[in-house]
Amino acid sequence: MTPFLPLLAQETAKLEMSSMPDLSRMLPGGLLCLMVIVILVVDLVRGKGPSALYPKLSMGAIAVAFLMVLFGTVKAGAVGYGGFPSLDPDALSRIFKLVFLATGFVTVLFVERSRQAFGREAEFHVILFGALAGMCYLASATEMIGFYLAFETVSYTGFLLAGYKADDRRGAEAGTKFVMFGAVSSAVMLFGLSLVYGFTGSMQFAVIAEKLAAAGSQPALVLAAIFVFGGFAFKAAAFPMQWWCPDVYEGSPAPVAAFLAVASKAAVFAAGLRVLTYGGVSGSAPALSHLMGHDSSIVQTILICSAVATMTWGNFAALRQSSLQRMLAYSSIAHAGYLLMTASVIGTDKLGQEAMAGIVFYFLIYLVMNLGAFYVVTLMRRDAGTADISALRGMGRRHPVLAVSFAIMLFSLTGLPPTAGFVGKLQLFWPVVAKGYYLLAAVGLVNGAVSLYFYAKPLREMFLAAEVEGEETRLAPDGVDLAIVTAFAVPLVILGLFGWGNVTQMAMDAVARVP
Amino acid sequence: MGVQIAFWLFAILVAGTALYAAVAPKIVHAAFSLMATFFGVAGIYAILGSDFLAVTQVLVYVGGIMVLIVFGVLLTDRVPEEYKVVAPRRWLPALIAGGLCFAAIAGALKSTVWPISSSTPLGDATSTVEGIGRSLLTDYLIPFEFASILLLVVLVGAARLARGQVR
Repeated sequence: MTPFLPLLAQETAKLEMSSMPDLSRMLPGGLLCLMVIVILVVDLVRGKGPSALYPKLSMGAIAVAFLMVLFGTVKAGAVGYGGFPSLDPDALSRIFKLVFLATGFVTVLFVERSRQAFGREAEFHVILFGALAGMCYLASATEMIGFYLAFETVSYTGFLLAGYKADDRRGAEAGTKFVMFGAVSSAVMLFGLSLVYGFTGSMQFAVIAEKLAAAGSQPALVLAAIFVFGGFAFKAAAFPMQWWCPDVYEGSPAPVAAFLAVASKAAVFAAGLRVLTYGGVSGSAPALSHLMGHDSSIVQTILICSAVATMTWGNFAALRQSSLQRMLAYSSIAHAGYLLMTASVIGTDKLGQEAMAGIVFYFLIYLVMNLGAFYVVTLMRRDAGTADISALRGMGRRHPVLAVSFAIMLFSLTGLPPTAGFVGKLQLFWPVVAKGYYLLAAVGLVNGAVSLYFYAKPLREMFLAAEVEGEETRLAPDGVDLAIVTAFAVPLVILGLFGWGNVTQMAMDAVARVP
Repeated sequence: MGVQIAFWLFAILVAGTALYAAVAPKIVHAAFSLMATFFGVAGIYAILGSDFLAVTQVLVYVGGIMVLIVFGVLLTDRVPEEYKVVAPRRWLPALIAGGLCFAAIAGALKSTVWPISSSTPLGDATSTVEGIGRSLLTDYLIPFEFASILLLVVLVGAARLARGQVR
């Protein structure tokens, strides 16, 4: 290896207007950043505290950003000052941005529907927009400083949202635990990143990928891979960094838990997919996933070990839970395990691309089924004041629409046909089997069977358990609630029966980089 | 040679005070010990030619974070006496776990073939300040601007948490 010039000795672009980054390609993210300031200013000018104006403003702005991403054209190449690759708003980041924005919209809607007062405070919306901006940046960052800043933005806003009801003892506990684990895992990841920088002398993913591929296996790089994975594992709630997850999800307000479970996880997987395949798909530079020798790369070993531990721990711990919100936390850990399992076969070949598309597809489905399930928790907390599964008893007879919709979501989370969850699981398992990792796939299947048991618990309460006189379910969904729940359940069936081909194509298009 | 001696002095200062911060029987002692650690780290940065980083380390960590920690200790004075003691009760498992981690990291770093450059962060310049300023406003313009959003959001969130819920 030739000695490298340190960061500061590199040639920087000239200080002139023509070097300015192409702002038009960062408009959706810019809008999210702008909204942080707009809401603060509106709050300052009004000076009257909480108002129903903020949720409306938020939902409107998120919807506009969503449409901008959806209808915006995707161009090739990174954006940055004078051609420096700061971020790359490519097709992959586009589809993840849609996931974040949809989740953000739904979260504001859920908070409104939960009738909790904090949803009308300006600060809540400021933090939410900060989180969304961070996620959009994280999904497209192509150098380490921006990547780390975005990563921390997603973490800090997560801490703030989880501990938002800090006057509530459980809320305070959730926030504190999250901060403690977050601080340690950030430090670990940062140490790993510093080793990578020390070895390659560059912040840019493209240069790092090239230098690492040329360097081959080095002990410090193995260490760096483990440490960086630690940071990712924390945000994805994967073993060995998953301990915070159940307490945080249970202590947070249900809509916030939904936001953390879907958007936060999608953000870290978006960044993970980019890091794993950087430069690999287009064939210009070797993929990071192959950095330590080809088929038995250390990164792959880490992913497989973590996947097995994560899904097994998540599913088996979920068996004993009686709180639906806590159970969904363990379920979200288990899902991180399935996703990691498929992430371990990601690569530059066709199968590797199919694995990536499978993960993208699963997030689109997971968004619908998990948010829907968390809406039921929101209703339980609102009407019954508890997330205990027994609060659902007798719902099948009293509120059949709600019960059947929730049943569809649970079937989908388990991965049973004819729901979209089945197609999603199929696309997660197929690349693993095709690659010949039968044992790994078998562990995944056994886990799926175990999960059937705990997902069936709410079903039993809703449809089979006998109602006790005077202890009828206190859930009182109104027309809007039923419409929302149905809107989450129906797409799962439609996608599971015949619509999945289009979504699969969307996912394939997203991972095939723009030429 | 002088640099070597300076390095080892600072290294011993950092390691020693950091160890004391971990085992000190009183939180205030640990906090002041940590202050010395931060100074030592700044010294190592200075030896390596990172003048700006060394000054920032002193300003931010000794001036800012340290004051924050001391304030935190002072303001949470109602904590019962037994919680203030951070003495290690299970020092043997901690020693073994820490030792293994140290051995693994040290071993990995030692056996890696690092691409070594003889140039310092200074290069031909007399100070790194200009280079850092240039980098922040050119190559790293987008992350630099985004940092302000991060700080703003976190500031608002921290104020909200400190104030509690509006009634």
